[in-house]
Amino acid sequence: MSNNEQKPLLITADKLRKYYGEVKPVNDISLEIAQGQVLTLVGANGAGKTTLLNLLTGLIRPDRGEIRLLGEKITGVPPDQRAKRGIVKTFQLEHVFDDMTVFDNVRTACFSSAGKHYSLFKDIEDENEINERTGALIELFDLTGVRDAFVRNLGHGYKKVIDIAMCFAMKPKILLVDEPTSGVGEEEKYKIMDLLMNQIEANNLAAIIVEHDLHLVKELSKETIVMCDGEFIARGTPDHVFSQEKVIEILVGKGF
Amino acid sequence: MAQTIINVVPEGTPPVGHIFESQQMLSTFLSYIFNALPMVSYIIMLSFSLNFILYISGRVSLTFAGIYLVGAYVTVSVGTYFLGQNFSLLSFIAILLAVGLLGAAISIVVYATFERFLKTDVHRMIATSSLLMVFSGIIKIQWGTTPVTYSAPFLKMGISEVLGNIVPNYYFFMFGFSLILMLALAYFLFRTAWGLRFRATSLDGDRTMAQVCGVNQNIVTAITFAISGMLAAIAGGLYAPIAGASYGIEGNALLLAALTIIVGGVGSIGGAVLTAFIIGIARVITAVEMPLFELAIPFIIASAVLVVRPYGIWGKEFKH
Amino acid sequence: MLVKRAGSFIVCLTVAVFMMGAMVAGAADQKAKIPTDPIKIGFVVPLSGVAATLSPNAGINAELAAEYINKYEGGILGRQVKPIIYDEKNAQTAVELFGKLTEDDKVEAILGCLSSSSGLAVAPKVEAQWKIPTLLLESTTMALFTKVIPNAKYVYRIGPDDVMQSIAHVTAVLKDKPDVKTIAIGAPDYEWGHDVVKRFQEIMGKFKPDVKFVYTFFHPFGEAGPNFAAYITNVMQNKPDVYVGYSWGSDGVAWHNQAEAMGLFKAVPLVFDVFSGTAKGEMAREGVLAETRAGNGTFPPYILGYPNSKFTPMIVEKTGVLPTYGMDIHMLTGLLYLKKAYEKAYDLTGQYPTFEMVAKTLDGLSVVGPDGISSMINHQSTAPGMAVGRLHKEKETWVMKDLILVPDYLRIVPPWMTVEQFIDTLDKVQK
Repeated sequence: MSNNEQKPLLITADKLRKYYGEVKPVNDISLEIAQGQVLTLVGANGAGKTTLLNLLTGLIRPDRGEIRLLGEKITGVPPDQRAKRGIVKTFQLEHVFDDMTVFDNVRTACFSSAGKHYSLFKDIEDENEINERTGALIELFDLTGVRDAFVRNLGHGYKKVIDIAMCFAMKPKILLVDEPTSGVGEEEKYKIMDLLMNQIEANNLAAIIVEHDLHLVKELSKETIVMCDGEFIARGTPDHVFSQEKVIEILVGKGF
Repeated sequence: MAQTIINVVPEGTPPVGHIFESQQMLSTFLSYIFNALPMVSYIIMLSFSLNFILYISGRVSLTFAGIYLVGAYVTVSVGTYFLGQNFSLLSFIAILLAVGLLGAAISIVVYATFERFLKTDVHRMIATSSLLMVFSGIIKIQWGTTPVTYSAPFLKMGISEVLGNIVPNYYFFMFGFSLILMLALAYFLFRTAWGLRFRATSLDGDRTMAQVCGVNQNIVTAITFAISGMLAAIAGGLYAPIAGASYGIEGNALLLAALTIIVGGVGSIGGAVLTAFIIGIARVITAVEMPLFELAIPFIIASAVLVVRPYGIWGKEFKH
Repeated sequence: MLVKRAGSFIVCLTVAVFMMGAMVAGAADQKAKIPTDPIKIGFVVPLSGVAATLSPNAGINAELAAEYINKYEGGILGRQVKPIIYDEKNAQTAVELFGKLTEDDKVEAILGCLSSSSGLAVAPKVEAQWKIPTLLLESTTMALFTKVIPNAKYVYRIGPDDVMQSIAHVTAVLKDKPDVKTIAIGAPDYEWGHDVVKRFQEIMGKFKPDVKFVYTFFHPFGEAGPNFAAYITNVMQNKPDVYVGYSWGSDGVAWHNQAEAMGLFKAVPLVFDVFSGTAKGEMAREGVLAETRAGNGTFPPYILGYPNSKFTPMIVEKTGVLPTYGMDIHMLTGLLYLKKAYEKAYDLTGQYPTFEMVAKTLDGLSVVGPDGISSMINHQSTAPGMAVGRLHKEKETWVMKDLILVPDYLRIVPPWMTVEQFIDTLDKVQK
């Protein structure tokens, strides 16, 4: 913890609130994440984890509160702009471009992060820089075998990996990972998680990982937050957090 | 355009047996295709005008039919004013492109000031069909209800004789023009960086993920509307020299475009082109062989396709 | 008692003497006094909707017809004509408007009804209820006077009926091309289109039984953005001596363009295109036979002299185009008929004419209208505009050459015959 405090603050959220009528998925949450800090976020279904991530990426707007990226206020900035500035999210469900090849999927993200104007006329096959970078990412995430396959025809595990590859193509500063292993077999689960963690570490990224599998959480992260009814109820190392009684109460039956 | 004369059988050659017969059949079949060309090109552009918005932004917008109407009338007026009975290919193409830009501009304005705020498809259908009436009202005030014509391009381009069929060169011009536009659109969609963005946002892609990938929805939708408006206006401009611009053509445009999407499937350029050929040729054949069914045949085809393939021949089911 | 009787006798006598005196005075004065206020005439003409495309300036032309009567003819019985113009939207509206004109506006005659449906709807009520002199313009099929109001009293019609029309067409074709053997014929696909084609074929069969109809087609009617290439190809492939076309409106314009582009006018020796004349001559093609009624704009205004030499320039000045449809000029013809009827009735009776008198006087009148001399025979005008001629462009204007005027005896169904009987006699007449 003390180590992180010296690093510059990457993202701060101040008293974020989002209500849907009586339901309060995010209730005055404040959060600070420094560069390179990796958090895991656990909680029962409907605790507000995905809503919190969506507030950070801008896919939904908060009722109240403020979000800053590197000290700059970004509360009203649309999601595509935030993505370009480095807040990138993967999805719990498949969100990939079905009718495009794996290469094109990743390439779309690479174009966005390249920070230059799109040409209306230039053939994308001639954009060497982008194509090289896309190729490298494809290789990195072990997708070479399905490079030119249409995503539509690929399995769920592949789509998860493509999703993650696209996130990295965006050159993120902070990665918001929403249940990267949901719906994936045991074997693939570890493979995906390893891949993800290695890349996060290698690029010294900050990350918030929402994960249901508490074994994975214990193994992978140094710091974990437990969320319940729109509020943080515990925070600390997994061992410490998961020994608290109220946490066990909330997460009981969740494989703990 | 040079006059091409392809005459396989020299005049005076006595027709012999099956060669003559197959020649005759080929010639008749070709005549069906040639006569269908204007309708084919018109359907391609119009249907894709509706299709493109539907495919990329998932919206149902009927404004294109109004823009088609405006395109036809403006082409007639501008053509008559600047060219009159004189005709030069280049100036006509320039007029068409200008009309296309006008259509794009109208479409963007309509999107930015009006359609952007409509949240559901029902709202959009109702609001845009009301807007269609506004368009035809404006046309009625400006040009009246009497049809107007500007036929110089059609008449001055001459005719070609292909295997005994007389075909106005304008048919080829119109088909070529629309095909070039569609090829350009295909290039844009599949070979440019913007195209990636469009496909990422489309019904085939994923809106949310596209946003996370840094795609600005508003810009993409605005350009989509612009392209749609351009296609519709040019379709009007290209067809006007043949059929004239008349009050009420927008209803027909709407129907044919919708039918073509039903048959061809959402978002398929190839589907649109092939469907246009099917409907166009079917209409020509029925006009000659079974005139009673000429107007009904597109509907018959569409119903048949709907029974067999609910998402159109080349269409696919979308996850949204 | 006696005194009383004598008193009443004297009163009676005095009254009688005064009455006689008044009559003598009247005879000395000749006639009753005519009101000086304007005479109101109702117009029910299409101002919107499909029919308005045929005659887009009908409203203006009605005003101009009234203006003409006031300016050059001295009004009706010296009274200025005040037109009251309504939009003939559909048959139902037309009926309502007729009621309104008679009962509320107190007009003294009504002109109107381009569409046959309004004419058929209005006529029985005029005869039974309103009893007002009515001149239908263009309107109607033969059924009006044969079935709907067989004993017409108040309703008259200006404009040819479909039998007259078809006879004129056949006569014109035969006159221009006596040796015709094959004909292709096309019309829009609706009731009227089928009717005229049937009539044409029937009458041609009477006149020249060996003529073959090699290709008959009906194209979609009023379809927006029509493409007729398939029909045109077929006409040309059948190589007819004559092509007879009945396409009109936007269909007609598109048909002519497409036929010209595909070379039909060069490939077929004679084209008779009924509606070739329009305001701006969009349908006019060199050498094509056309009917004058369909588009009056095709013949030069000076050809028929008075009153067209004044009336047509008035229309052109105000609307920018020549009269586009028969109705445009029939309105003036109608007012001329009314003027004559009112004045004749007044001359005969010496009273200001009642509706019944005017209606009775109308039959048998002849007037010189903008389209020539026409007579009202058996409630039906002889429609002198009924001529066929060859289109020719002269100094940027389309004119008609070689005008074939079809004689009245050849085309007007006599009152004692049905249409079928009349058509039956035609072959004998022709010989």
